[in-house]
Amino acid sequence: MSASEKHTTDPALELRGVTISYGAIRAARSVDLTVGAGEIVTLIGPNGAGKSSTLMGTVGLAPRGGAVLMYGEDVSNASTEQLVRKGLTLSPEGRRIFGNLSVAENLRLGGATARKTAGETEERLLDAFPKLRARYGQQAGTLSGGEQQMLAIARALMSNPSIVLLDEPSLGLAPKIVDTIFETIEQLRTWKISVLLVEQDIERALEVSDRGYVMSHGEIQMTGTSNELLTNANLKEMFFGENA
Amino acid sequence: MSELVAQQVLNALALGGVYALLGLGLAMVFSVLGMINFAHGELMTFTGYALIFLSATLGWPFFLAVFAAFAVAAASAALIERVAFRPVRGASLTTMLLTTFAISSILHVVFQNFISPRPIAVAIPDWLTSTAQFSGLRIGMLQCISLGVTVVALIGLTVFLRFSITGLAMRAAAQDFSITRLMGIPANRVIVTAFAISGLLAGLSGFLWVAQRGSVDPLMGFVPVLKAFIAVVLGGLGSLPGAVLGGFLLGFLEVLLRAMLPSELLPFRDAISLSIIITILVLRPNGLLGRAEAVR
Repeated sequence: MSASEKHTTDPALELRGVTISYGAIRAARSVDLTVGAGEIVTLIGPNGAGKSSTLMGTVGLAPRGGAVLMYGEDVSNASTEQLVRKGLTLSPEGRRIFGNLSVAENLRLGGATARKTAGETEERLLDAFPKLRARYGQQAGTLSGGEQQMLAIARALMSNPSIVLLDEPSLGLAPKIVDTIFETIEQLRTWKISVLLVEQDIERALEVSDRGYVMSHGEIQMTGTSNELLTNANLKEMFFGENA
Repeated sequence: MSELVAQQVLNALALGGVYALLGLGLAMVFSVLGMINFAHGELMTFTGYALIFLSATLGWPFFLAVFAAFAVAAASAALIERVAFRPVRGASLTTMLLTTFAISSILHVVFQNFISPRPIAVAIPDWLTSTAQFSGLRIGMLQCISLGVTVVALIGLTVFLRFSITGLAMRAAAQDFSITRLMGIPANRVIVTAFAISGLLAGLSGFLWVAQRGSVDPLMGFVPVLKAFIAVVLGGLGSLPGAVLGGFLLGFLEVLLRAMLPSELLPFRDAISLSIIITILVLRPNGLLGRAEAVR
Protein backbone atom coordinates (compact mmCIF):
# COMPACT_ATOMS: atom_id res chain seq x y z
CA MET A 1 0.00 0.00 0.00
CA SER A 2 1.40 3.37 -0.92
CA ALA A 3 1.62 6.15 1.62
CA SER A 4 -1.30 7.93 0.02
CA GLU A 5 -3.66 4.97 0.25
CA LYS A 6 -3.81 4.53 4.01
CA HIS A 7 -7.29 3.81 5.40
CA THR A 8 -7.86 4.36 9.07
CA THR A 9 -10.33 6.06 11.32
CA ASP A 10 -7.51 7.88 13.12
CA PRO A 11 -6.56 11.36 11.95
CA ALA A 12 -3.83 11.44 9.33
CA LEU A 13 -1.81 13.78 11.54
CA GLU A 14 -2.22 14.66 15.17
CA LEU A 15 -0.13 17.02 17.29
CA ARG A 16 -0.57 16.63 21.04
CA GLY A 17 0.89 19.27 23.31
CA VAL A 18 3.63 20.10 20.83
CA THR A 19 6.18 22.62 22.05
CA ILE A 20 8.93 24.11 19.89
CA SER A 21 11.85 25.72 21.72
CA TYR A 22 14.99 27.42 20.47
CA GLY A 23 17.04 27.60 23.65
CA ALA A 24 15.11 29.80 26.07
CA ILE A 25 12.72 30.98 23.36
CA ARG A 26 9.48 29.05 23.01
CA ALA A 27 8.13 29.43 19.49
CA ALA A 28 5.11 27.19 20.07
CA ARG A 29 3.40 26.04 23.29
CA SER A 30 1.12 23.05 23.84
CA VAL A 31 -0.17 22.93 20.29
CA ASP A 32 -3.02 20.45 19.81
CA LEU A 33 -4.05 20.00 16.21
CA THR A 34 -5.47 17.31 13.94
CA VAL A 35 -5.65 16.81 10.19
CA GLY A 36 -8.14 14.19 9.07
CA ALA A 37 -7.42 11.79 6.23
CA GLY A 38 -7.89 13.62 2.93
CA GLU A 39 -8.61 16.87 4.74
CA ILE A 40 -7.12 20.31 4.04
CA VAL A 41 -6.52 22.24 7.25
CA THR A 42 -5.17 25.77 7.44
CA LEU A 43 -3.05 27.19 10.24
CA ILE A 44 -3.27 30.96 10.29
CA GLY A 45 -1.88 33.68 12.50
CA PRO A 46 0.18 36.85 12.52
CA ASN A 47 3.90 36.91 11.76
CA GLY A 48 5.93 35.34 14.55
CA ALA A 49 2.95 33.33 15.84
CA GLY A 50 4.92 30.09 15.65
CA LYS A 51 3.26 28.55 12.58
CA SER A 52 6.39 27.78 10.57
CA SER A 53 8.19 26.57 13.69
CA THR A 54 5.28 24.19 14.33
CA LEU A 55 5.62 22.76 10.82
CA MET A 56 9.42 22.48 11.08
CA GLY A 57 9.11 20.82 14.49
CA THR A 58 6.48 18.39 13.18
CA VAL A 59 8.95 17.02 10.62
CA GLY A 60 11.80 17.01 13.14
CA LEU A 61 13.72 19.98 11.77
CA ALA A 62 13.19 22.12 14.88
CA PRO A 63 13.59 21.07 18.55
CA ARG A 64 10.23 19.65 19.54
CA GLY A 65 8.46 18.38 22.67
CA GLY A 66 5.05 16.72 22.86
CA ALA A 67 3.67 14.00 20.62
CA VAL A 68 3.19 13.62 16.87
CA LEU A 69 0.95 10.83 15.61
CA MET A 70 0.41 9.64 12.05
CA TYR A 71 -2.73 7.53 11.56
CA GLY A 72 -2.69 6.84 15.31
CA GLU A 73 0.93 5.72 15.38
CA ASP A 74 3.19 7.69 17.70
CA VAL A 75 6.06 8.94 15.53
CA SER A 76 7.40 11.47 18.04
CA ASN A 77 10.82 9.83 18.15
CA ALA A 78 11.14 9.26 14.40
CA SER A 79 13.85 11.17 12.55
CA THR A 80 13.01 13.49 9.65
CA GLU A 81 14.11 10.82 7.19
CA GLN A 82 11.88 8.19 8.86
CA LEU A 83 8.89 10.55 8.84
CA VAL A 84 9.34 11.14 5.11
CA ARG A 85 9.49 7.40 4.51
CA LYS A 86 6.27 7.04 6.52
CA GLY A 87 4.52 9.52 4.22
CA LEU A 88 4.91 12.93 5.89
CA THR A 89 6.65 15.74 4.08
CA LEU A 90 7.07 19.52 4.08
CA SER A 91 7.35 22.16 1.41
CA PRO A 92 9.22 24.75 3.47
CA GLU A 93 8.85 28.48 3.74
CA GLY A 94 11.06 30.36 1.27
CA ARG A 95 10.97 27.37 -1.18
CA ARG A 96 14.51 26.24 -0.34
CA ILE A 97 14.90 24.36 -3.59
CA PHE A 98 18.39 23.13 -4.44
CA GLY A 99 19.44 25.95 -6.74
CA ASN A 100 22.69 24.27 -7.79
CA LEU A 101 20.77 21.22 -9.08
CA SER A 102 18.58 21.03 -12.18
CA VAL A 103 14.78 20.81 -12.00
CA ALA A 104 15.06 17.12 -12.97
CA GLU A 105 17.61 16.47 -10.21
CA ASN A 106 15.46 18.27 -7.61
CA LEU A 107 12.53 16.06 -8.57
CA ARG A 108 14.68 12.92 -8.58
CA LEU A 109 15.89 13.68 -5.07
CA GLY A 110 12.33 14.36 -3.96
CA GLY A 111 11.37 10.88 -5.17
CA ALA A 112 14.35 9.14 -3.59
CA THR A 113 12.13 7.25 -1.14
CA ALA A 114 9.54 6.23 -3.75
CA ARG A 115 11.67 5.19 -6.70
CA LYS A 116 9.21 2.57 -8.03
CA THR A 117 6.48 5.15 -8.54
CA ALA A 118 8.78 8.13 -9.19
CA GLY A 119 8.31 8.13 -12.99
CA GLU A 120 4.53 8.05 -12.78
CA THR A 121 4.42 10.67 -10.01
CA GLU A 122 6.78 12.93 -11.92
CA GLU A 123 4.59 12.77 -15.05
CA ARG A 124 1.52 13.67 -13.00
CA LEU A 125 3.33 16.61 -11.41
CA LEU A 126 4.75 17.85 -14.70
CA ASP A 127 1.19 17.78 -16.06
CA ALA A 128 0.07 19.85 -13.08
CA PHE A 129 3.01 22.27 -13.52
CA PRO A 130 3.74 22.42 -17.28
CA LYS A 131 6.27 25.21 -16.71
CA LEU A 132 8.49 22.73 -14.89
CA ARG A 133 8.41 20.43 -17.89
CA ALA A 134 9.64 23.31 -20.05
CA ARG A 135 12.45 24.00 -17.57
CA TYR A 136 13.24 20.33 -16.84
CA GLY A 137 16.99 20.44 -17.55
CA GLN A 138 17.50 23.99 -16.29
CA GLN A 139 19.38 24.83 -13.11
CA ALA A 140 16.74 25.40 -10.43
CA GLY A 141 18.40 28.54 -9.12
CA THR A 142 17.68 30.28 -12.42
CA LEU A 143 13.88 29.73 -12.22
CA SER A 144 11.49 32.57 -11.45
CA GLY A 145 10.01 32.78 -7.94
CA GLY A 146 6.74 31.19 -9.05
CA GLU A 147 8.50 28.35 -10.85
CA GLN A 148 10.69 27.75 -7.80
CA GLN A 149 7.56 27.50 -5.64
CA MET A 150 6.02 25.01 -8.07
CA LEU A 151 9.24 23.02 -7.91
CA ALA A 152 9.26 23.09 -4.10
CA ILE A 153 5.73 21.69 -4.00
CA ALA A 154 6.40 19.15 -6.74
CA ARG A 155 9.61 18.01 -5.02
CA ALA A 156 7.69 17.46 -1.77
CA LEU A 157 4.99 15.49 -3.61
CA MET A 158 7.54 13.28 -5.38
CA SER A 159 7.90 11.21 -2.20
CA ASN A 160 4.28 10.09 -2.73
CA PRO A 161 3.25 11.38 0.71
CA SER A 162 -0.02 10.83 2.51
CA ILE A 163 0.37 14.09 4.46
CA VAL A 164 1.99 17.26 3.16
CA LEU A 165 2.75 20.40 5.13
CA LEU A 166 2.80 23.53 2.95
CA ASP A 167 4.43 26.60 4.42
CA GLU A 168 3.49 29.93 2.80
CA PRO A 169 3.23 28.54 -0.76
CA SER A 170 1.89 31.80 -2.25
CA LEU A 171 4.24 34.23 -0.51
CA GLY A 172 5.54 36.92 -2.86
CA LEU A 173 4.06 35.40 -6.03
CA ALA A 174 2.14 37.02 -8.88
CA PRO A 175 -1.69 36.54 -8.74
CA LYS A 176 -1.71 34.22 -11.76
CA ILE A 177 0.88 31.93 -10.15
CA VAL A 178 -1.04 32.05 -6.86
CA ASP A 179 -4.10 30.75 -8.76
CA THR A 180 -2.06 27.79 -10.07
CA ILE A 181 -0.72 27.06 -6.58
CA PHE A 182 -4.19 27.03 -5.02
CA GLU A 183 -5.60 24.92 -7.87
CA THR A 184 -2.87 22.38 -7.10
CA ILE A 185 -3.66 22.46 -3.38
CA GLU A 186 -7.31 21.69 -4.18
CA GLN A 187 -6.16 18.93 -6.52
CA LEU A 188 -4.30 17.28 -3.63
CA ARG A 189 -7.71 16.37 -2.19
CA THR A 190 -8.43 14.23 -5.25
CA TRP A 191 -4.99 12.64 -4.85
CA LYS A 192 -6.07 11.68 -1.28
CA ILE A 193 -3.28 13.69 0.28
CA SER A 194 -3.98 15.36 3.63
CA VAL A 195 -2.73 18.93 3.83
CA LEU A 196 -1.72 21.21 6.67
CA LEU A 197 -1.38 24.64 5.12
CA VAL A 198 0.26 27.73 6.58
CA GLU A 199 -0.67 30.71 4.45
CA GLN A 200 -0.68 34.50 4.64
CA ASP A 201 -3.52 34.79 2.11
CA ILE A 202 -6.03 33.84 4.79
CA GLU A 203 -9.26 34.20 2.83
CA ARG A 204 -7.93 32.19 -0.08
CA ALA A 205 -6.53 29.53 2.24
CA LEU A 206 -9.76 29.13 4.17
CA GLU A 207 -11.71 28.91 0.91
CA VAL A 208 -9.81 25.77 -0.11
CA SER A 209 -9.70 24.31 3.42
CA ASP A 210 -12.11 22.21 5.43
CA ARG A 211 -11.05 23.57 8.80
CA GLY A 212 -8.65 26.04 10.30
CA TYR A 213 -6.68 26.85 13.43
CA VAL A 214 -5.74 30.32 14.53
CA MET A 215 -2.38 30.64 16.23
CA SER A 216 -1.00 33.61 18.11
CA HIS A 217 1.93 34.02 20.52
CA GLY A 218 2.83 30.36 20.02
CA GLU A 219 -0.56 29.01 21.08
CA ILE A 220 -3.70 27.85 19.31
CA GLN A 221 -6.30 30.53 20.06
CA MET A 222 -9.24 29.40 18.01
CA THR A 223 -10.41 26.57 15.76
CA GLY A 224 -13.40 25.89 13.57
CA THR A 225 -14.58 25.04 10.11
CA SER A 226 -13.39 27.32 7.36
CA ASN A 227 -16.85 28.90 7.07
CA GLU A 228 -16.97 29.58 10.80
CA LEU A 229 -13.56 31.22 10.71
CA LEU A 230 -14.32 33.22 7.56
CA THR A 231 -17.41 34.70 9.19
CA ASN A 232 -15.95 35.07 12.68
CA ALA A 233 -16.13 38.74 13.64
CA ASN A 234 -13.09 38.65 15.94
CA LEU A 235 -11.00 37.02 13.26
CA LYS A 236 -12.12 39.54 10.65
CA GLU A 237 -11.08 42.32 12.94
CA MET A 238 -7.79 40.65 13.81
CA PHE A 239 -6.70 39.93 10.24
CA PHE A 240 -8.77 42.00 7.87
CA GLY A 241 -9.21 45.12 9.97
CA GLU A 242 -12.98 44.96 9.48
CA ASN A 243 -15.51 45.77 12.15
CA ALA A 244 -18.30 43.26 12.65
CA MET B 1 60.25 28.06 -25.56
CA SER B 2 57.05 26.17 -26.41
CA GLU B 3 58.60 22.99 -24.92
CA LEU B 4 59.34 24.89 -21.73
CA VAL B 5 55.74 26.13 -21.52
CA ALA B 6 54.37 22.65 -22.23
CA GLN B 7 56.69 21.18 -19.59
CA GLN B 8 55.53 23.69 -16.99
CA VAL B 9 51.87 23.14 -17.87
CA LEU B 10 52.38 19.42 -17.39
CA ASN B 11 54.08 20.02 -14.03
CA ALA B 12 51.30 22.37 -12.98
CA LEU B 13 48.58 19.89 -13.95
CA ALA B 14 50.28 17.13 -11.96
CA LEU B 15 50.74 19.29 -8.85
CA GLY B 16 47.36 20.98 -9.20
CA GLY B 17 45.75 17.57 -9.54
CA VAL B 18 47.03 16.51 -6.12
CA TYR B 19 45.78 19.77 -4.58
CA ALA B 20 42.45 19.33 -6.38
CA LEU B 21 41.99 15.79 -5.03
CA LEU B 22 42.86 16.91 -1.51
CA GLY B 23 40.74 20.04 -1.77
CA LEU B 24 37.79 18.04 -3.05
CA GLY B 25 38.09 15.76 0.00
CA LEU B 26 38.04 18.75 2.33
CA ALA B 27 35.14 20.35 0.42
CA MET B 28 33.07 17.15 0.58
CA VAL B 29 33.18 17.06 4.37
CA PHE B 30 32.67 20.83 4.55
CA SER B 31 29.59 20.52 2.36
CA VAL B 32 27.82 18.16 4.76
CA LEU B 33 29.13 19.30 8.16
CA GLY B 34 30.13 22.91 7.55
CA MET B 35 33.64 22.42 8.92
CA ILE B 36 37.13 21.90 7.56
CA ASN B 37 38.57 18.58 8.67
CA PHE B 38 42.15 19.44 9.59
CA ALA B 39 42.82 15.76 10.31
CA HIS B 40 42.55 15.17 6.55
CA GLY B 41 46.33 15.30 6.14
CA GLU B 42 46.77 12.49 8.65
CA LEU B 43 44.76 10.25 6.31
CA MET B 44 47.47 10.87 3.71
CA THR B 45 50.09 9.87 6.26
CA PHE B 46 48.03 6.84 7.24
CA THR B 47 47.93 5.78 3.59
CA GLY B 48 51.73 5.99 3.46
CA TYR B 49 52.20 3.86 6.58
CA ALA B 50 49.60 1.34 5.35
CA LEU B 51 51.52 1.11 2.07
CA ILE B 52 54.81 0.45 3.90
CA PHE B 53 53.20 -2.13 6.20
CA LEU B 54 51.44 -4.02 3.42
CA SER B 55 54.23 -3.93 0.81
CA ALA B 56 57.41 -4.06 2.94
CA THR B 57 56.28 -5.89 6.10
CA LEU B 58 53.69 -8.27 4.67
CA GLY B 59 55.33 -8.52 1.25
CA TRP B 60 52.20 -7.77 -0.79
CA PRO B 61 52.72 -6.87 -4.46
CA PHE B 62 53.18 -3.07 -4.68
CA PHE B 63 49.99 -2.21 -6.55
CA LEU B 64 47.84 -4.53 -4.46
CA ALA B 65 49.26 -2.77 -1.41
CA VAL B 66 48.47 0.63 -2.99
CA PHE B 67 44.81 -0.26 -3.57
CA ALA B 68 44.53 -1.76 -0.10
CA ALA B 69 46.02 1.45 1.32
CA PHE B 70 43.31 3.46 -0.46
CA ALA B 71 40.69 1.24 1.16
CA VAL B 72 42.39 1.72 4.55
CA ALA B 73 42.24 5.51 4.09
CA ALA B 74 38.55 5.45 3.16
CA ALA B 75 37.68 3.11 6.06
CA SER B 76 39.76 5.20 8.50
CA ALA B 77 37.91 8.36 7.48
CA ALA B 78 34.55 6.65 8.00
CA LEU B 79 35.76 5.32 11.37
CA ILE B 80 36.94 8.78 12.47
CA GLU B 81 33.50 10.16 11.57
CA ARG B 82 31.78 7.47 13.63
CA VAL B 83 34.04 7.67 16.68
CA ALA B 84 34.95 11.36 16.84
CA PHE B 85 32.59 13.52 14.79
CA ARG B 86 29.21 11.87 15.24
CA PRO B 87 29.20 12.38 19.03
CA VAL B 88 29.74 16.13 18.56
CA ARG B 89 27.49 16.56 15.55
CA GLY B 90 25.21 19.53 16.11
CA ALA B 91 27.71 21.11 18.50
CA SER B 92 29.15 24.55 17.78
CA LEU B 93 31.55 25.05 14.89
CA THR B 94 34.32 25.76 17.40
CA THR B 95 33.77 22.37 19.05
CA MET B 96 33.85 20.64 15.68
CA LEU B 97 37.04 22.43 14.63
CA LEU B 98 38.72 21.66 17.97
CA THR B 99 37.74 18.01 17.44
CA THR B 100 39.49 17.97 14.07
CA PHE B 101 42.65 19.49 15.62
CA ALA B 102 42.45 16.99 18.50
CA ILE B 103 42.23 14.04 16.11
CA SER B 104 45.11 15.43 14.09
CA SER B 105 47.27 15.82 17.24
CA ILE B 106 46.35 12.38 18.59
CA LEU B 107 47.27 10.77 15.27
CA HIS B 108 50.60 12.66 15.18
CA VAL B 109 51.44 11.34 18.63
CA VAL B 110 50.38 7.81 17.70
CA PHE B 111 52.51 7.93 14.52
CA GLN B 112 55.51 9.33 16.41
CA ASN B 113 55.33 6.93 19.37
CA PHE B 114 54.08 3.74 17.83
CA ILE B 115 55.62 3.92 14.35
CA SER B 116 58.58 6.30 14.16
CA PRO B 117 59.27 10.01 14.62
CA ARG B 118 61.69 9.81 11.66
CA PRO B 119 60.91 9.44 7.96
CA ILE B 120 60.57 5.85 6.77
CA ALA B 121 61.60 5.10 3.20
CA VAL B 122 59.03 3.61 0.84
CA ALA B 123 60.33 1.19 -1.78
CA ILE B 124 58.90 2.75 -4.94
CA PRO B 125 59.35 0.58 -8.06
CA ASP B 126 62.02 2.04 -10.36
CA TRP B 127 59.73 2.27 -13.39
CA LEU B 128 57.40 4.53 -11.40
CA THR B 129 60.14 7.12 -10.98
CA SER B 130 61.46 6.80 -14.53
CA THR B 131 61.19 9.55 -17.15
CA ALA B 132 60.88 9.59 -20.93
CA GLN B 133 61.69 12.22 -23.59
CA PHE B 134 58.95 13.17 -26.07
CA SER B 135 59.80 15.90 -28.58
CA GLY B 136 61.76 17.91 -26.08
CA LEU B 137 59.41 17.22 -23.18
CA ARG B 138 60.65 15.31 -20.16
CA ILE B 139 57.68 13.33 -18.94
CA GLY B 140 57.88 11.43 -15.67
CA MET B 141 55.89 8.24 -15.26
CA LEU B 142 54.74 9.48 -11.87
CA GLN B 143 53.59 12.72 -13.48
CA CYS B 144 51.53 10.72 -15.99
CA ILE B 145 50.08 8.54 -13.24
CA SER B 146 49.33 11.60 -11.17
CA LEU B 147 47.46 13.18 -14.07
CA GLY B 148 45.70 9.92 -14.93
CA VAL B 149 44.63 9.30 -11.33
CA THR B 150 43.32 12.86 -11.04
CA VAL B 151 41.37 12.65 -14.29
CA VAL B 152 39.88 9.22 -13.48
CA ALA B 153 39.02 10.28 -9.91
CA LEU B 154 37.36 13.50 -11.08
CA ILE B 155 35.37 11.69 -13.80
CA GLY B 156 34.34 8.97 -11.33
CA LEU B 157 33.29 11.56 -8.78
CA THR B 158 31.39 13.57 -11.37
CA VAL B 159 29.44 10.47 -12.44
CA PHE B 160 28.76 9.61 -8.79
CA LEU B 161 27.66 13.14 -7.89
CA ARG B 162 25.47 13.56 -10.97
CA PHE B 163 23.80 10.19 -11.30
CA SER B 164 23.56 8.47 -7.91
CA ILE B 165 20.97 9.48 -5.33
CA THR B 166 23.60 9.69 -2.59
CA GLY B 167 25.76 11.86 -4.88
CA LEU B 168 22.83 14.15 -5.64
CA ALA B 169 22.09 14.30 -1.92
CA MET B 170 25.68 15.33 -1.25
CA ARG B 171 25.44 18.16 -3.79
CA ALA B 172 22.11 19.18 -2.29
CA ALA B 173 23.57 18.99 1.22
CA ALA B 174 26.31 21.38 0.15
CA GLN B 175 23.54 23.93 -0.32
CA ASP B 176 21.00 23.05 2.39
CA PHE B 177 21.65 20.09 4.64
CA SER B 178 18.43 20.16 6.68
CA ILE B 179 16.22 20.23 3.59
CA THR B 180 18.23 17.34 2.13
CA ARG B 181 17.03 15.31 5.13
CA LEU B 182 13.47 16.09 3.96
CA MET B 183 14.22 14.02 0.86
CA GLY B 184 14.16 10.98 3.15
CA ILE B 185 17.82 10.15 2.62
CA PRO B 186 19.43 9.23 5.96
CA ALA B 187 21.79 11.99 7.11
CA ASN B 188 24.24 9.39 8.45
CA ARG B 189 24.51 7.75 5.04
CA VAL B 190 25.30 11.06 3.33
CA ILE B 191 27.85 12.06 5.99
CA VAL B 192 29.63 8.68 6.17
CA THR B 193 29.80 8.52 2.37
CA ALA B 194 31.26 12.04 2.28
CA PHE B 195 33.91 11.03 4.81
CA ALA B 196 34.70 7.76 3.04
CA ILE B 197 35.10 9.53 -0.32
CA SER B 198 37.20 12.25 1.30
CA GLY B 199 39.35 9.48 2.83
CA LEU B 200 39.69 7.80 -0.55
CA LEU B 201 40.77 11.10 -2.11
CA ALA B 202 43.26 11.63 0.73
CA GLY B 203 44.52 8.12 0.01
CA LEU B 204 44.96 8.84 -3.70
CA SER B 205 46.78 12.11 -3.10
CA GLY B 206 48.73 10.52 -0.23
CA PHE B 207 50.05 7.85 -2.58
CA LEU B 208 51.05 10.45 -5.21
CA TRP B 209 52.75 12.55 -2.51
CA VAL B 210 54.62 9.56 -1.05
CA ALA B 211 55.69 8.39 -4.50
CA GLN B 212 57.23 11.83 -5.15
CA ARG B 213 59.02 12.02 -1.78
CA GLY B 214 59.90 8.37 -1.36
CA SER B 215 59.29 8.46 2.40
CA VAL B 216 56.61 8.85 5.06
CA ASP B 217 56.89 10.82 8.31
CA PRO B 218 54.33 11.73 10.98
CA LEU B 219 53.93 15.35 9.80
CA MET B 220 53.85 14.52 6.09
CA GLY B 221 50.22 15.54 5.61
CA PHE B 222 50.45 18.99 7.19
CA VAL B 223 51.75 21.06 4.27
CA PRO B 224 49.61 19.50 1.50
CA VAL B 225 46.42 19.79 3.55
CA LEU B 226 47.24 23.42 4.28
CA LYS B 227 47.66 23.99 0.54
CA ALA B 228 44.40 22.14 -0.11
CA PHE B 229 42.66 24.35 2.45
CA ILE B 230 43.94 27.41 0.58
CA ALA B 231 42.66 25.86 -2.66
CA VAL B 232 39.22 25.26 -1.13
CA VAL B 233 39.00 28.86 0.15
CA LEU B 234 40.20 30.16 -3.22
CA GLY B 235 37.58 28.09 -5.08
CA GLY B 236 34.83 29.02 -2.62
CA LEU B 237 34.03 27.19 0.61
CA GLY B 238 31.21 24.74 0.08
CA SER B 239 31.67 24.52 -3.69
CA LEU B 240 32.89 21.14 -4.96
CA PRO B 241 33.82 22.41 -8.46
CA GLY B 242 35.42 25.38 -6.69
CA ALA B 243 37.75 23.07 -4.76
CA VAL B 244 38.94 21.48 -8.01
CA LEU B 245 39.38 24.84 -9.70
CA GLY B 246 41.20 26.23 -6.64
CA GLY B 247 43.51 23.20 -6.55
CA PHE B 248 44.52 23.53 -10.18
CA LEU B 249 44.93 27.31 -9.92
CA LEU B 250 47.18 26.95 -6.88
CA GLY B 251 49.22 24.29 -8.68
CA PHE B 252 49.62 26.54 -11.73
CA LEU B 253 50.52 29.51 -9.57
CA GLU B 254 53.20 27.60 -7.67
CA VAL B 255 54.75 26.09 -10.80
CA LEU B 256 54.61 29.41 -12.63
CA LEU B 257 56.37 31.22 -9.79
CA ARG B 258 58.95 28.44 -9.49
CA ALA B 259 59.72 28.73 -13.20
CA MET B 260 59.68 32.51 -13.52
CA LEU B 261 61.01 33.93 -10.28
CA PRO B 262 64.72 34.84 -10.15
CA SER B 263 66.64 32.56 -7.81
CA GLU B 264 67.06 35.22 -5.11
CA LEU B 265 63.26 35.56 -4.87
CA LEU B 266 62.49 31.83 -4.84
CA PRO B 267 62.43 31.62 -1.00
CA PHE B 268 59.50 34.08 -1.15
CA ARG B 269 57.52 31.90 -3.55
CA ASP B 270 54.87 30.86 -1.01
CA ALA B 271 54.54 34.43 0.27
CA ILE B 272 54.03 35.71 -3.27
CA SER B 273 51.52 33.02 -4.22
CA LEU B 274 49.57 33.64 -0.99
CA SER B 275 49.60 37.40 -1.66
CA ILE B 276 48.11 36.77 -5.11
CA ILE B 277 45.43 34.55 -3.56
CA ILE B 278 44.64 37.17 -0.91
CA THR B 279 44.25 39.73 -3.70
CA ILE B 280 41.82 37.41 -5.51
CA LEU B 281 39.87 36.93 -2.26
CA VAL B 282 39.73 40.67 -1.65
CA LEU B 283 38.08 41.00 -5.07
CA ARG B 284 35.92 37.89 -4.60
CA PRO B 285 35.51 37.36 -0.84
CA ASN B 286 33.45 34.18 -1.31
CA GLY B 287 36.04 32.59 -3.56
CA LEU B 288 35.87 32.02 -7.28
CA LEU B 289 32.77 29.82 -7.28
CA GLY B 290 31.48 30.42 -3.74
CA ARG B 291 28.03 31.70 -2.94
CA ALA B 292 27.43 34.88 -1.03
CA GLU B 293 25.19 33.01 1.40
CA ALA B 294 24.90 29.36 2.25
CA VAL B 295 21.81 28.07 4.03
CA ARG B 296 22.55 25.24 6.38
